[in-house]
Amino acid sequence: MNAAVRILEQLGKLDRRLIYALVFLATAIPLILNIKLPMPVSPEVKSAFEAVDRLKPGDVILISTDYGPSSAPETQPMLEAILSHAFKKNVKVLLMTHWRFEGLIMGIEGIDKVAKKYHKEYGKDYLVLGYRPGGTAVMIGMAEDFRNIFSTDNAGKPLDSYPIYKEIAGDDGVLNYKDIDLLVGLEAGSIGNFWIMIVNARYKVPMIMGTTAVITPEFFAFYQSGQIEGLLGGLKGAADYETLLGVVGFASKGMVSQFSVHVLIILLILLGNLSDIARRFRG
Amino acid sequence: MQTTLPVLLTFIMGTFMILMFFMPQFANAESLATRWTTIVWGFALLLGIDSLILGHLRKIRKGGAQSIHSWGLIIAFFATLLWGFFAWWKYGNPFAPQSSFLWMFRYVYLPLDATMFALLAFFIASAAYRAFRARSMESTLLLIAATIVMMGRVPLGGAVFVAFFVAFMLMIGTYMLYESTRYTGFDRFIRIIIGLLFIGVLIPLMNPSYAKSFANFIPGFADWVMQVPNTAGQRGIALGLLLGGIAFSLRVLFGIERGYLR
Repeated sequence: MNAAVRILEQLGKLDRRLIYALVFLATAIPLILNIKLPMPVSPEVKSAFEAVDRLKPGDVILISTDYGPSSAPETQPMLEAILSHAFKKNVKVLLMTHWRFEGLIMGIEGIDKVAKKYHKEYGKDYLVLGYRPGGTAVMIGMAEDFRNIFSTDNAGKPLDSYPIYKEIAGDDGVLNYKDIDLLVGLEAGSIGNFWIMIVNARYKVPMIMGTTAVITPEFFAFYQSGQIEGLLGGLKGAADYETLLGVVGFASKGMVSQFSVHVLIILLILLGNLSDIARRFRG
Repeated sequence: MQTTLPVLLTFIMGTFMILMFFMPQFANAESLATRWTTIVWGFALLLGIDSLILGHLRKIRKGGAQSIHSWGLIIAFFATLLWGFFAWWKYGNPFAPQSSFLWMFRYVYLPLDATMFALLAFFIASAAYRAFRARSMESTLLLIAATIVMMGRVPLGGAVFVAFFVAFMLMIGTYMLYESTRYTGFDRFIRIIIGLLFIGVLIPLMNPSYAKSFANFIPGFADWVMQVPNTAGQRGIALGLLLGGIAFSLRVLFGIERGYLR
């Protein structure tokens, strides 16, 4: 028994470089092996999927990519899955960001990639509004007319010069929240709260959200109250959406890495605790 | 006058914005005010840059081993700025598809930003191993909840959780039985009973269908943890934050809180 206690004590002194190497291997090996494992779909993701699925051809979704490259592994697959779903249904897409400028670049990368796959045309099927700082001011400013905030698109051309604008804005020639059928907030920070508190609460725009796993817990309250119709939380949310869509994307493959890293971290915590108990046991 | 005017201006603009929120007939005025706000945000970014640069210039002037980092920041900042201006002049927009600045942004800045965040996974694993100890009731509950949620939200997590559960119960049961050999009488008896109870709980799991049901139960239970206890706590935090925010805003509006003027 004493030998076992000594071994346990020693296991509590693993070199941190060994831990780093284990985390690296646990992340990289499943990605290299390209494995996909089945997983039950969360109800909140199913609701989000149904909200997009209810849209009819010609309906409009506004996507806000409020994240940067640091959270892209979680949110970028969400963007691509939702865009695939929307383009499959011939829904018009407007894309913007107002949290970090990098969100615009991530958004453009995602929308260009998916639009190419579904043969969608810029200015006719989708439009990139661009980046404007200002948080809630941007949201309120867009309520009257999007051109108050985005006088031109990201390429510098007036919004109303595009066919998609004329189609969405209709006879009055004004594009605002009344023309939006679904708002998709892909969030890595606090901006998501304001989309709900201002645009959903005040202008009654239906919303779904995709958030990083770190901030997902705070959005469950909005999902339960019905303020958001669905919620994609972290990589699991993106993987669930891909499952519902019937595609195997980065999120589905990444979940296997997440599984192995979670198991590794729990094992390390157990090992640390056992070693601590052994140390105390020996006095 | 130096403080009275800003406080008065804050009061007028704050009250104006509150009234605008509840009066849709003044939507145009509100829209105009929000356009001003986006301009002020732009200047706030400039102020931030000014503060960052001055702070690092001070560090360089002080010298020392750490000043190398400040040099790095200053050089990278001005190189990026000049590159951006050059791309603006050459392509009309620094982020034009053919712009070299966009190339730098995509292949230098974005990977660096992603790498900084990815390092967290390594540090979290190491820190959890060293510091996450179940020494109190609260930390044990946190550990159990974390294990359920972490396992419940990954594929095969339920099955692995069952394996962890079996190992944990066997370990505690064996430990209690071993401990009983050091005691006599009632103390020994109670330890044997507890040890057997921990091991006995595992008997139903020897039936594969029960073990499978238990494994299938974990993802649903993880969802329940997220949707019920977690949401209850989050609601409390949100209410506290918002009430605090309202109180703080009123203090600013009435000029009681003047920290922002310093």
